[in-house]
Amino acid sequence: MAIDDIYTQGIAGGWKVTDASTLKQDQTYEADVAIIGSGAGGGTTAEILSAAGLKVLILEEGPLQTAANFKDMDDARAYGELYQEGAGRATSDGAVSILQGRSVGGTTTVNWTSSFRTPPLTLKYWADTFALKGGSEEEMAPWFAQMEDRLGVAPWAVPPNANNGALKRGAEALGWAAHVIPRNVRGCWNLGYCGLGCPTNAKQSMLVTTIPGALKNGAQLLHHVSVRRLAFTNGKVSGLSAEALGPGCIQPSGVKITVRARHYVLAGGAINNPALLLRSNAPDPHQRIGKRTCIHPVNLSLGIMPDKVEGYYGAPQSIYSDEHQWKHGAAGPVGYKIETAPMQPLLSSAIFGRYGDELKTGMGLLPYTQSMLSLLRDGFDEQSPGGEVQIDGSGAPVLHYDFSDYLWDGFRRAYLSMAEMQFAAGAKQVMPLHVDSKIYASWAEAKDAIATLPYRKQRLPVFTAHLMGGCAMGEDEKLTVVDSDARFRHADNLSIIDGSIFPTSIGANPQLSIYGFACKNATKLAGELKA
Amino acid sequence: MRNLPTTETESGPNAVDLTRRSLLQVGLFGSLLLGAAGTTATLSGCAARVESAAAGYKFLRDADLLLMRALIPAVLGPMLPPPGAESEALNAQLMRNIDLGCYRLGHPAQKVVAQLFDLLNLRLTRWPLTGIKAWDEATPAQMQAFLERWRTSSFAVLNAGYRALVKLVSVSFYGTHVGWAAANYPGPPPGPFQVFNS
Repeated sequence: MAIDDIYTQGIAGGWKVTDASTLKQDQTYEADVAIIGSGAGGGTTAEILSAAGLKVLILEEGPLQTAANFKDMDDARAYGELYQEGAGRATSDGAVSILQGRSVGGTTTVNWTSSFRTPPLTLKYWADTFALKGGSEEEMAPWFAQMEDRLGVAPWAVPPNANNGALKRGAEALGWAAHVIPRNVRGCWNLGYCGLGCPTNAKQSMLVTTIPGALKNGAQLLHHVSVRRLAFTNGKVSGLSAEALGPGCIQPSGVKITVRARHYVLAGGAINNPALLLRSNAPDPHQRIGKRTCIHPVNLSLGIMPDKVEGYYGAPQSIYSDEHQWKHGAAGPVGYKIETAPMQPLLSSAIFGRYGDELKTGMGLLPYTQSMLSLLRDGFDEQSPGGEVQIDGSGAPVLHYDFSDYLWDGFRRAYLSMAEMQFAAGAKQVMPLHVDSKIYASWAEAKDAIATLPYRKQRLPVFTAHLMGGCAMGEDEKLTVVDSDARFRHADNLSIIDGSIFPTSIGANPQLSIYGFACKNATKLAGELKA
Repeated sequence: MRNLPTTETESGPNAVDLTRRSLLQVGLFGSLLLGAAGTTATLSGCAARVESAAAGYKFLRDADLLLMRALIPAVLGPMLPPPGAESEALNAQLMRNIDLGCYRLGHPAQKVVAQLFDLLNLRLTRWPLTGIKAWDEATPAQMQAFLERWRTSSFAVLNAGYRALVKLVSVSFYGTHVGWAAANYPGPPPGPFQVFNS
């Protein structure tokens, strides 16, 4: 019983989907709206604009891969083909590893389905600090509700897998807050392979929801296409130039693509959007493009449990703890959200960072290993201004990100919280993932060690799967790139609709925040373009 | 770095002069790591490396292959099959995986990886920084001593090099079925897998 991949039938029925690697000659396309990127922002925008009767063209750099590809549940194939830079993307000095999607559906094709509304304290901070209008908890509620309904977002009703069960048990033993995570799934098989592309179409990613919705409305999808430049003329975007990529989706094929549209929407994410604007010499009088890139820096802790955990099976994230997230409101020492990470071997070895006997022993314990991660809420303090996206001589994006004592202190407290919770959940041993850590047999031993570990770049491995900012929104034009409706300040026909407009990190997995703001801003844009 | 002389004196890894010179090289590597965007990196520089890839490879050059042949047993030694056809086939697969991993990186990251490999392949810098004269003569114990030296170094750039090398090799391995077995990972759940693939 093969799973319907949705696209084979759709294309046979007339959906306009073009693999640009198959093009032999230069092409020009015209549309009412060109959307660059097909992830949470681009997908949502494409469906709303096409439903309003606008002619929409979606440009995606990555490949179109579907359930027909995901059925192998193979980590090597998935990380190589569905992630930016084959999952090898990193900050400029290599200190932070970046997991970010790159295929039709963007990161929604490979994320772990956690769906939180933007926390009220985050929304209030944006209004207070960046003069964001229309983004209060009450004003956003209907947009979140609309997208939750569209994408089947609901608290996970199935018992958590053992990996998440340990988080719940540890939190309960300590009297800490722990709650069930809402997930965007319908008819989920509880397999645990969300990060490799959902093999059953249960995950309500853009790949199986809004992109097919837009295609049914007559939108056109062009994949294997890398947008190189926007042309800015007299306060407007006058055109877009792109390169088709070859079948491997890495090198240009030589075919050039030109697009002319009434309106342009950037939805390529917090690294690629600023890079495109910088390559295009976009007007930027206050030098704000690429600034305040927030990443929810992540550190991890592994707990060895007496019984099998098999953290590679079952919904990857279903329980979270916000015990340490909002203790001082939005401000104060950095807060962090604690969740778990799925434990397929390739990703696990990438975070493990050891060699020889230590690698063999540690990875050999994979079935018994429980993993916790902490997402640090960056961007809410003067000592945490976020990173900066620049471009190199070839025009490729480079993300610089530095850590202050404010963040090092957060990592230290996060290691402590995770280890304490793991021992409280019954772990026999705990290993905070750090170049200098060892495996500790008691909470007391771990606590002492965590206090003395060096808190320095390259010794503390940091990860991110949440890229936010670089094109901040708000009414304060000295601090922001787009206004409260996501319109670019210095061109009439350009919007930016995705996670790059968030002026700080979210304080929760960002996908539903992107959907909600995209729904609001695209709906308004549709009205304006139809008028 | 390609224009640097490749001769070296035989005064040994502890020679102050060599160490100072090699650290100058590290400094260069480090500044590139820290400021890739500020360098005059160009696409042509990257293309030149791709063109000089070893036969059958997209990114790794002949010198890099020698490095990887020494590095793989240092990182994975206890998990590798004994020398023989099986071991050779796995080694070839891991080299291809490492090559593809590097090839898929964006231009800025490729440039940094190329700098790291150049630093390791230039005798002038390799010996003082790793204690190893030639990759094809290094024992796994010597290789592990080099990795440990970089892991515990007070130079962040060497820590970064350690992390990059270990990660390149370990992800190339744990994505294979031999790696799955070493991690005691049974593979995808067999029932659903059969349903999807029948």
